Amino acid sequence: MTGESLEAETVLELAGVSRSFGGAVPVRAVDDVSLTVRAGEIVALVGSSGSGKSTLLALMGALDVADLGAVRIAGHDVSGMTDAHRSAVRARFVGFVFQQFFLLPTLSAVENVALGLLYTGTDARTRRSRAALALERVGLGARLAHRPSQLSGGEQQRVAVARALVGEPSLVLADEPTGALDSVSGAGVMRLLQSVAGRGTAVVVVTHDREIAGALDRRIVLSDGRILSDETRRVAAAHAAGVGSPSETEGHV
Amino acid sequence: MGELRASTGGCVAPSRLRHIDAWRTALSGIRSRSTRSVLSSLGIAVSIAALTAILGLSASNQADVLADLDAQGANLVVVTPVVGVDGDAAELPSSAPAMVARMPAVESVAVLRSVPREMHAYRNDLVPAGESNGLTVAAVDPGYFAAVGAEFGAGESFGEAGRALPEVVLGHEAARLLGVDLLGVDPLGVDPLGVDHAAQRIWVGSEWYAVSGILDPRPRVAGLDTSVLLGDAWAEQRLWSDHDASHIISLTMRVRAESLDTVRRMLAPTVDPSNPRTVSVSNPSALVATRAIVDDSMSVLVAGLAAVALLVGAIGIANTMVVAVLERRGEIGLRRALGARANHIARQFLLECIVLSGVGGIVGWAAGAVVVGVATTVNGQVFVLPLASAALFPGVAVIVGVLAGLQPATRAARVPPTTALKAG
Repeated sequence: MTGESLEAETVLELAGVSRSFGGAVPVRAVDDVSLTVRAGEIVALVGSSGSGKSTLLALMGALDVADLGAVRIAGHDVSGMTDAHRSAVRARFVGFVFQQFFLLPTLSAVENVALGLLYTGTDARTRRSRAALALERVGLGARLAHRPSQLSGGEQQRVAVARALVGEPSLVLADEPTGALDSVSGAGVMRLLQSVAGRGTAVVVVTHDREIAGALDRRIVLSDGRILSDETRRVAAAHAAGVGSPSETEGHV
Repeated sequence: MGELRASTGGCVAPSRLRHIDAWRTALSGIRSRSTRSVLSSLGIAVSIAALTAILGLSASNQADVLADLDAQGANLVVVTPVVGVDGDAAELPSSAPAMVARMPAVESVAVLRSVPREMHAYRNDLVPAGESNGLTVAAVDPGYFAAVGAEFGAGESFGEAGRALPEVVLGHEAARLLGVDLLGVDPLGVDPLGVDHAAQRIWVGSEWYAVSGILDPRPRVAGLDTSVLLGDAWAEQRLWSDHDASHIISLTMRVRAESLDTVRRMLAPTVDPSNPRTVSVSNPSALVATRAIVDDSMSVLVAGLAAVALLVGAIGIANTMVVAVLERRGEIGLRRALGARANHIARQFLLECIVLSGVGGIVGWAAGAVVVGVATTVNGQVFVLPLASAALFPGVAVIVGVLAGLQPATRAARVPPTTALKAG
């Protein structure tokens, strides 16, 4: 990352976060994780399946509550919050992108995007105009009235990205956003997410695709719920060297 | 987008969903499963239609029965003297008609007076005296016919002018037995065709009487159909020998239906304050009560069926909702991710129930009203459907729908967002 982004504000902060599941012998899906993500950063969260990536992503987005530790999103500690307040944090500060898009099939593209503002109490007219703007921003300005079934997979995922962005969140969390796409569409979506980060939003992308992870500035490797490595590289160096070598490290393990 | 947010450690306002948006969301949820929604709504509609039809039909029926009974004389009370030990009917006091007319709930009083017992009516003067056909001859004032609600099938009342003349009005059966039909007779008595006027007169006692009118059948007024009624002034002048006697053999009163019981209780002392026990008062309301009981037992039966239909409708809605919650886990997860609270999710499903059952209730009420309309038109009855049912029945439907949707909605709200998203 460049020097100016180091001065950028911390959007996401996890301190000693743990989350267990199960009954008699609980499994620690996330074990004592601490990390910070700043505005404008794009982070790859990688690891084998069952490493706790998705659980960690849910904790980062206040969809789930940690058993131990603190999660701070845009300065708000969500750990002790009621459902109503935690939901408000999601509505105002977090945008989610999922592998399966989760577009509602009976709604048009612009209506799907407008859903991103539904729980902020914004009125319908404003929701719609902002949704149209968000769709233009992802290059789908000509597809406002299309149903999801009339769009390609890549277009559908861009609609989903627009829905995540429409509320102008501080943090975008993407869970395998290219998992259901061909490589060309996938690359397009990744470029889109990188441009989102370029405008100052913190982006965390869960992926098991090494190529995608390698193209991002920072890579956090998770194994058995713990952070194995957390490396940040200069974009320029990464581009020049192909795979690139770590020049800066921000490990918290 | 580019702007950096300041780290505000303070409170966040709870996420909120506008009411209008909650309704829109519910509607779009219903539209996304239109067939199933229509079917589950239909279950409610059928039961509400049944309830509405029962209510309307029984109300229309009851109104019809009441109107019919009123027309027939259910609101007529007849006062007669108690028959004495010697078999001779006593007379009512001559003050009785005036006293009774003064009672506030009494709308009209008709007085029937006796004629000498040996007076009978015959087709003509050649018929043997024994063949009296069981017809009753009595004297009345011209207002009698209107007071008992009798209508003229032919001709008219003898009127004030004929009151003191040898003219008669015949009951329907009496006219048939005496062979009088008044066909071809001009009501004014002018007969350009020269029809034999002898056919339009009868022999009563020992004199000819002109027939001025024939009544329609009216079985509710006992004995009227077989009566031969002549004017009371004529009787006074020509028939009665004892001019001190009242000659009143019955009083027929039209009473306001709601005061029937009160009037009946006060009648005997009013008619004859000194000897109330010699006065007999008829009880027409027993008939009304009987008809009402028959109606009610029918209503209970069909209302039971409608309740079963309502239960089935509720199960339909509950089923639709349970399936919807299972099917739409992904959507639930998405909405939670977009900032919906658990109770926003519950509210969405409950509103869907309210819309489904409310629409079912309104459509059902309208369908029931149409059924009542058709049935009453076909039966020639009055259309009666209490207006309150238009609010009440859809209201009942909504309550049933909410009860049916409560469990699925709560379950939808309780699904952890992460679990819901995995299901998608």
